[in-house]
Amino acid sequence: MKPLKSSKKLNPLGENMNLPDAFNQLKNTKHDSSFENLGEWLGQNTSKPKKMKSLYKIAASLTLTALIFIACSIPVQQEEEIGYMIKGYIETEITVDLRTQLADAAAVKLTQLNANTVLHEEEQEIEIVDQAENNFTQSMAEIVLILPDADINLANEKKNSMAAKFDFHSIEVLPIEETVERPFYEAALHNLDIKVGKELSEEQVVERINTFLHENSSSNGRAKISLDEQGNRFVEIAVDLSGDNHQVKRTVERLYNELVPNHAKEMRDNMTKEELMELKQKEIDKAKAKKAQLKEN
Amino acid sequence: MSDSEFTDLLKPHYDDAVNYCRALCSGSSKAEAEDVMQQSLLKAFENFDVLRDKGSFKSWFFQIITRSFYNSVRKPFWSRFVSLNSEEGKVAFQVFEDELFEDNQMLIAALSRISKKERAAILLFEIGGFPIEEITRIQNEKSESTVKSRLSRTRKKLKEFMVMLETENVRMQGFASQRSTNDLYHETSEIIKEIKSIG
Repeated sequence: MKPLKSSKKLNPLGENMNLPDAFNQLKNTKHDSSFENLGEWLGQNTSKPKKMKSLYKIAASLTLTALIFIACSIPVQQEEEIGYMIKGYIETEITVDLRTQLADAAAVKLTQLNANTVLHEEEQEIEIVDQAENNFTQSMAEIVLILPDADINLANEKKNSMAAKFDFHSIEVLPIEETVERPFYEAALHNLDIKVGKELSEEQVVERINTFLHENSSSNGRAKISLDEQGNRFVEIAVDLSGDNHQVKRTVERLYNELVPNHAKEMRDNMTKEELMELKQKEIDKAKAKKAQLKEN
Repeated sequence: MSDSEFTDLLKPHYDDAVNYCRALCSGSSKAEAEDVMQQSLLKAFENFDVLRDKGSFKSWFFQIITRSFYNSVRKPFWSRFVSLNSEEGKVAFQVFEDELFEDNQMLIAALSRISKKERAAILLFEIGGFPIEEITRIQNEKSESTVKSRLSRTRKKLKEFMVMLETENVRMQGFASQRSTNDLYHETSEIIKEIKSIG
């Protein structure tokens, strides 16, 4: 900077009032003594993290990648809906005409619809002593329709169509779920509706549908997945007359409900008093539990 | 980056930086100036990796000092009294000596009477030796003409303040020499007369 010519003129006293000189004096002050300690002081006071050696960096990156990979590969269990079962009861006899009309209402093939006659017992308090004579059983048609592809809207639509045409005692849509084991990342992607990896095989789906069918209905048929003209999958239920393992495994309680009235009477006659009491007690407990659940709801 | 790289780069500019910081903190206590300098040093050291162009180290460091000073002025009143004292077992670091700028009290006093932006501009020019363009960047100004007019205005103000301070100083010295007659009674009566005449 050039020295200011006017600076001395402004000074009425004419002494050492030159601004650049004053600044020069300021600028030339030395601080060597404090600089000596600076390096050590910085080292002790700074919070700056020390640099990692590149070898450690690579090792850390590899470990982190491996951990992420392992974490993503851990298998997790996931409930997957593979279809829906429409189950309803109608207070009528099963006829070919009934089945045809139901199939038309639901817009399905006749073979897809499964109908069984069941004994439906009215819920009421019955004294255990008079168990055999005070039963109010009613013969009903149990209608079962299985939709293999998980679409709740379609299932509800079919249920409503059938309910509109027939006076159902009760009708409901039950989801058929299967527990599948997938790696964590696949499960996460599946939740986002991104299908990766292997899906459930046809055999697994059929097996699960059959298990569900036998657990939730009185049907003793076998489900079979077929394709229609448009390539859509549908489930046909073929009645298995030879009897299968599921039927054999059924409890006396379930058999009681499934037998035709005359056969049931014969069956009851052959049972001991204790067996009948036990059976009746179970029925009452079941009814109570159902009533309690309804109240809770 | 190594610690020595930082100090090596700092060394040629260290005196200027310390003088700049102390003069910038004119009107503040020595402890406050010490805080500003220490904070600037630590901040610069911690962010040294961020500085890509090591050639611009000086202006970068002076900018940190300037910002630290602005922040110290803005910070709450109570926190100005909290300084970065060395903890036990750590190296004591004192930037400013006690008798710093003793011979330049007039300039320091004049600097304390101007605004912080004017002070920073004139000190960056005079002590830092930065060109107008660099000062414009350090002070985050949009045009160089702003800095130019600021410098001109500041010089004028400084001169006026220094003349005023010097005049007052001379008057006080003259006043003191006039009165030193060793006659306490006479001196007291003279002062009373003067006070009455003012009143």
